[in-house]
Amino acid sequence: MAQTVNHKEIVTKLLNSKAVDFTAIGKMVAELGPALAVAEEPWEGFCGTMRYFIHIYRVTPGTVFETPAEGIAVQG
Amino acid sequence: MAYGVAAAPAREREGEARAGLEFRLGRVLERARLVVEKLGAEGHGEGPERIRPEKAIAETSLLMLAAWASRPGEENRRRIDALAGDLIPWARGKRALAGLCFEPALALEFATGHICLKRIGRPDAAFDEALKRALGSQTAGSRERPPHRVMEQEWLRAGWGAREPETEKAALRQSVLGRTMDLLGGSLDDGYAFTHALMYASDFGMRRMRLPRPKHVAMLEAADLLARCLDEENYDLGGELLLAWPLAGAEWSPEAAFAFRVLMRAEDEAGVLPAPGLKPELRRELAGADPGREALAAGYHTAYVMGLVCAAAMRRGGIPDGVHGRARRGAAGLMMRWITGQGPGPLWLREMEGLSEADRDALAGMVFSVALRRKVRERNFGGMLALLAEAHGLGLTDRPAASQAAEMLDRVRVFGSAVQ
Repeated sequence: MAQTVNHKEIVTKLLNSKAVDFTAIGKMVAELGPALAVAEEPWEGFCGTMRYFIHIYRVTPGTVFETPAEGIAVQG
Repeated sequence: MAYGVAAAPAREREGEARAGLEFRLGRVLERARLVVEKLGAEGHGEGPERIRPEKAIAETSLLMLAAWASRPGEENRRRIDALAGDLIPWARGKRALAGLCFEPALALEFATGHICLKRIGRPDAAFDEALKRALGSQTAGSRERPPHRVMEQEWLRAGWGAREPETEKAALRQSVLGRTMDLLGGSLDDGYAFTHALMYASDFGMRRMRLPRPKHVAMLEAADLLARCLDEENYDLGGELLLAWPLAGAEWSPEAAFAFRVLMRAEDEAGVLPAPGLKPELRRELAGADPGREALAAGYHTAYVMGLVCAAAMRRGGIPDGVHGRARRGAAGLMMRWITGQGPGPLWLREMEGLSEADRDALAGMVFSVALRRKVRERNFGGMLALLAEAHGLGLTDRPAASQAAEMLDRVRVFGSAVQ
């Protein structure tokens, strides 16, 4: 559960902290390449677990049942 | 929030504003009839990009319900009635029934159209019986879903008349509505989880809801994510985020009022609220009198988002007549110096030009949020720090993007120590 956060306080703390060469660190990060920008990748698909919104039952690819009777007939 | 003084009396301005919203909603409803006509049978496309007919029917049904709930005028009531008539054969047709039969775990998805129709006074006992059988099956609960999808299931179940309050409450607590969104590194999917959870929790504005954390906290996050969407010209998620204000019963902030202006302008310039990445030729076709299936499939969802926003705003009494708010003088100008780039830039920049200096200053926090996100994307940590320092001096850092950026820089510092 999210806590209420004092945003200004967190910023103040950072601004008052020890100086760091952020530019140099930025260059290091850049060397790691664009692979770091993973937020838009579907991690859920990483292990093949990504699911589509909806799918229709198929016995063979390209076959879609129009009525329950058709499905029962195909299954035999 | 202070509002500026306008020339016409408040009631007259409200009337004009409502007429404008009704007009926009009506235009979306007309387009929705084309979506049903052309995508209802077979959808469009192949592979992962395919728009299944069930998706088009379900989303059109949601639009219809939201429009119905907006207390529309006579013309839009007629459009809603006509749309309902168009939807019935698909929402309750063979494919939907076959879905109930063979995939009971997806029964409520297949029944979305039916449930929405039932809620606007168009029931069907035979489909109800088929749905009841499906939901009573052993495998009806076999599908695993993330919390916002569970909320969707419970919203549909409640709409059908079989509400399960405890399951609803548990899903709400577990959903992104009860968590902090990652505004700098999160995916857009998280944003959609937020917007969808809000739609279901509020019943599209028809129900007062209690969020699992303070409302103003969630609204600040929505504002920062909305700023990102405006800058990226993602009016699909941006529009859904804009829904947060009317659905949560929150007073329109200057940033939300401004975002609404940008969306309206985007819709007016393109003829339809443009989907992100929509090819110009398809956009033009979609805005035309007789768009084809490809154009409709690619663009209807974002067009519908505008309809949802207008409907929600109408239900809550409209939108502010301007962008006004208290702000430090000159703050926007200072923040705008951080917004660099070639060419005309995104639409929000052009819309800012039309505002008074005072109104621009009311949006200084939004400009800061945009600039911050751009620095994050560039991995320009030195720039982030300098921007944070300036914004802090202007009193603009009381927002989650700022504190998340500060935390990120703190982690970057640790990273720097670790790798050296």
